[in-house]
Amino acid sequence: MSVNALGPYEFAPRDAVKNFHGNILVNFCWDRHVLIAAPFAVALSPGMTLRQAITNVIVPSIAFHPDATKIDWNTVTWEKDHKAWQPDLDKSLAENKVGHKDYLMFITPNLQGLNGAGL
Amino acid sequence: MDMKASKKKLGIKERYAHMTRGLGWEPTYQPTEAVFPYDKYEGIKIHDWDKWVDPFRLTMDAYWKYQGEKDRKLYAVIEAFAQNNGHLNITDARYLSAIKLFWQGVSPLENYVVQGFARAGRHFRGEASRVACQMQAVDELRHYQTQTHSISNYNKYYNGFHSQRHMWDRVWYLSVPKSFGEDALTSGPFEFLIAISFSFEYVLTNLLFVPFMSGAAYNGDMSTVTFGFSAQSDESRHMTLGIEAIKFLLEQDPANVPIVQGWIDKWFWRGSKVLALVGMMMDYMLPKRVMSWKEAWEIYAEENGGALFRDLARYGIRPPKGWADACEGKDHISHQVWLLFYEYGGAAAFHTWSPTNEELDWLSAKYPETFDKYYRPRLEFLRDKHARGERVYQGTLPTLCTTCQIPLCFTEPGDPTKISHRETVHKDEKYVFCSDHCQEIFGNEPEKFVQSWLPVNQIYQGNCFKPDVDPTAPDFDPLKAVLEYFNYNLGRDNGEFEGSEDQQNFAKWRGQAVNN
Repeated sequence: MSVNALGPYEFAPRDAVKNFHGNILVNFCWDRHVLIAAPFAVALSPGMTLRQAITNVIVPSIAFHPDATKIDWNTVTWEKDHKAWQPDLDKSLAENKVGHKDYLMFITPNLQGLNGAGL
Repeated sequence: MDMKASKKKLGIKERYAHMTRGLGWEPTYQPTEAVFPYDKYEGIKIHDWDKWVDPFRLTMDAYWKYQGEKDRKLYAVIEAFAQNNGHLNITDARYLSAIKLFWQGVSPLENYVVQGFARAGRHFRGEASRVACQMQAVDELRHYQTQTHSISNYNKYYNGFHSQRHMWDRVWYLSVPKSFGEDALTSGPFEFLIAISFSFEYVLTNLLFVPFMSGAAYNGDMSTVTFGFSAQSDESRHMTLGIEAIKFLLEQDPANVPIVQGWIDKWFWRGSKVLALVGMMMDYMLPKRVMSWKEAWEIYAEENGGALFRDLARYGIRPPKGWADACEGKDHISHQVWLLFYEYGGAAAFHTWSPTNEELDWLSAKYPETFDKYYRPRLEFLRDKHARGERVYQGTLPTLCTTCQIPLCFTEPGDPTKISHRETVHKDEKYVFCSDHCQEIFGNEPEKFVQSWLPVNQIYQGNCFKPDVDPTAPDFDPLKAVLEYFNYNLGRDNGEFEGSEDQQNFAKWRGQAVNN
């Protein structure tokens, strides 16, 4: 469907990748750990490795969660846009085909959150 | 000699006819279509505008008289409140955060609704509907003004009240009500009417106004209670207008039914998302609580709204699409939003805190199915961290929903530990949503929502710094620069309540009022 309007109604998307100064916006969610109140949206250089993104951005942002230090990033399973995904942590975001506004979910089945309740 | 008796005074009906339809005329210099260009394109068919009747049959002359009387009473109370240091009679300085939230996030919406009704009042071709819209525009302007005058007294003493207009256009969480209001304002006049008069004023207003005003009464805030009372008779008129408006549209032509249904689906969902802010206020920000958000939802949405939609079924209208999901959310959203604001408390222009044990017990009792399992452990964990000197402040920005603009803090229906996320690719561009319904609203009008001004994304685009800021400077702190752009007084407006200037000043001043 499209908007009902009297005249032409067309606008450029406000969040096109060209507006992010060479970065892409990437969303990270730690599955079943809702003590982290919401997923993160971070602007990252596509040349950065996924491991760098994790170390520099994600680890400090989830550090207050008691499960955070127990994560073994080499055994974490991933979903990208809700589909199973096997990235190479030491390759760049671009090489891992991470796109603008993708939703990356990291799953740590052995860590069950606060009280073992997915929190 | 017989005196000639003067003619009897006009009855209400005659007077109403003269003061509404009697004020209209047929344009001759311009074709009618050119004078009223906006009341056809939405597809709504009106065959007889004279069927529109304001149930109060209120005319402008009587309106001024009533409103003038109400204003005189209100301003006497506001004056007394100011002179008697009424602000020291509130239960606790934590209550101030509820008023800050109202002032920052609700009062500016009144101003938007002024604009919307002024425009609708211009563009409907039925005179009676235009008069009703004009009066509602003036009502809403009065509400904005009375709220300003009542709340300005708090601004003399406490933080976070100082930059409402500036913050409204910039601050991340205020983009939630702002985008709601702008979506309504930029709709056609009929959609605006269904969005505001019906979906908001009729179906949901009791979930906004009643909680805030009774919260004020329970917490000793005479100033807010009084503007609430002053607005109450206006609100009941707006509600009645809302129901009359929808019945009018539905009775005019069967082709209007699916269009109206689509608007109800959209605006009920949008409204219920904005109300998540009220839910958090009721369950967490009132030192003396009125009722839980869940109880309010059950009474005002499920019972009253349920009866309303049973009544509208005869027109072919069904309950809004998001109804079941919104009802399921009554056990969750207030907690999820409070926890979000607690963790992002460094970036909010009101204070957040950890509930006391007694407050946690109250929440456990009110939410027996969910609180102890999903929310109490989080609140206690964060409280313990704070007690150890490690107050949690999240500094990494959250993912926002393109439609409602709320961070993705809500969980899947029926699965309270799974964050709900949806995405749509439209013309090679990806868009993120918090729910099926926000995704569907986008899908119906993608051209509108590709323009969403999402604060997080704007910050990363570099559009939320003051002009003289140098993001390449070695000591550049982006989060601090953003909060300065919001016009926050850092360390005074934001962050933890315990130890805040508001807490300390209130304790000191009240101490002076009750002790030697």
